[in-house]
Amino acid sequence: MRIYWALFKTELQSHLQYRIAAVAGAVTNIAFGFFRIFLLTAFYGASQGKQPMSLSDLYSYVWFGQVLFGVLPVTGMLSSDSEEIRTGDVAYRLTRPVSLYGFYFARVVGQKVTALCSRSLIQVVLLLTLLPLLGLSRYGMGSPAWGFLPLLALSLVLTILLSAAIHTFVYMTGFWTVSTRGSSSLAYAVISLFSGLLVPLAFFPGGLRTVADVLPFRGVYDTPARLYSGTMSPAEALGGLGHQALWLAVLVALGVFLARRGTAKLEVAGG
Amino acid sequence: MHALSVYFELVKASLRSQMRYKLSLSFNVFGYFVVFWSEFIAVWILFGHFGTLAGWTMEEVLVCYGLAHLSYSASEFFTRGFEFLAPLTRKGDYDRYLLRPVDTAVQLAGYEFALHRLGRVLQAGIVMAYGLASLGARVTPPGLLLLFWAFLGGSAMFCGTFIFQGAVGMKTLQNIEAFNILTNGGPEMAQFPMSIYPRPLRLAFTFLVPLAGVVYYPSLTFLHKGGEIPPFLGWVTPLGGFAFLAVALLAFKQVEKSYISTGS
Repeated sequence: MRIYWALFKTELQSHLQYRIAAVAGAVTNIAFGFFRIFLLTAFYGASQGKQPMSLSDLYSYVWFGQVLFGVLPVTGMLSSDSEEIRTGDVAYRLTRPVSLYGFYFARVVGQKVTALCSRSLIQVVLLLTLLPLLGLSRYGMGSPAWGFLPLLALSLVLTILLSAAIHTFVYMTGFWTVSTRGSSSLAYAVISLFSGLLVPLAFFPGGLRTVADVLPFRGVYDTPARLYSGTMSPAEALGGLGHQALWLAVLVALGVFLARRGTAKLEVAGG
Repeated sequence: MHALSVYFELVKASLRSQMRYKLSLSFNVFGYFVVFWSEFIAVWILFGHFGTLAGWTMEEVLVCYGLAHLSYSASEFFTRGFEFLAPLTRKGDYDRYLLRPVDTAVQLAGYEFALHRLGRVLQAGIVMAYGLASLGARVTPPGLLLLFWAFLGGSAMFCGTFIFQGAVGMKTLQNIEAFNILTNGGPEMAQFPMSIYPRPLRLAFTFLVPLAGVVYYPSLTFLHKGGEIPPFLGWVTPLGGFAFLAVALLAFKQVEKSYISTGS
């Protein structure tokens, strides 16, 4: 365990060096957040019926996703790590006395935590200061639902781990697909839709909603976002946490299995 | 003329190399085709839930969607190469480009003619065709001509954004993520009627970056949605896209002058 902890820490330290990139990322996410908000506000404006979420809850939901963007399994999928199987560098990893899956998983968790400590934090600060200054506070992120705070904290830990598990799973497909370029862009498409990032899951029509509820992806965004905005019943909240934990276990097990199968058949050209 | 023939040679070489791996190419085209449906599904879900957006039906919005994504994906063929300006400058490899007796902009445009981008063109084309088909009698020959003209202006504009990004990258030695707001974000914003955005943003997208000029205003004219602008303006505003491209090229040439090699 100590080895994985060390791997996690090195990754954290090396990524925290890039502060300017973190600021640029935060600004980009805020801009995209505004586009979503303007769009959804316009949709709300035209509709008469009762909506599943109030506008201010919706803003919190959208901002929560933008703040968490660096943690979601949609950024950094195509990294030098993900290409190691193709380049053959994976052989160096195999010479070490750590599990291959554990190695990548610990590094990805490190990247996610860095994103949370830099990019997400900068975004929260910008949102809290910039919006009032620009006179846009009405579009701002509301305060969290205090009652759910302990559950939210627990859910966030699961979010990071689940996100890392999905991420590492995509890496492992590299054993069969040569380049992870295809699987990571496919993963991006599926995750951005079924996590609720493109459209809140609350607006999904019946059948599609059921699919989204079963799939693991709502666990990386929809569940913690609704805990934050408090648009969940306590029963739903506990169900959401269970869904996260269950999928985390399944995906880690699947990833470990893929890593084993992959290493067993791996051929690395010498050079 | 010389520059043009060199450009076609570069494109031909790029196509030949991609054709070597036909299976891999078809997978990539298919992958690129599939990926962009999720964004369309998002639009479809929203209209399914809410019905209309600022007085626009989904079929009408799909004209904007089609125009925005078609022009963007067309521009990717020509100017994605400018993204390599930052790494080329960082490593000092840009020397080679300056030494060759052809305009550097032409060389960068011919950097890679990535065929897999056809996947996105196809996706946007299908959505556009569906939108136009459901509009029925509102589609007229002059209207289609207008759409084609707007598509040309839009492609020019998106080419301009990639060139701007590259020029800035030459200075900063790293591609700035904030440019994604314009490049990736451009079609995402323009696919909806601009009237949903606040006035300052709308003005910026009309006069600073003519995103509205190449998508929104022509769509208004095409759909006979009067009120906001006199209909003939929809024919004029796509010119802004070409102007934007010209300014971007000038800026790139200006930045290029300050290039200093690494000396290795």
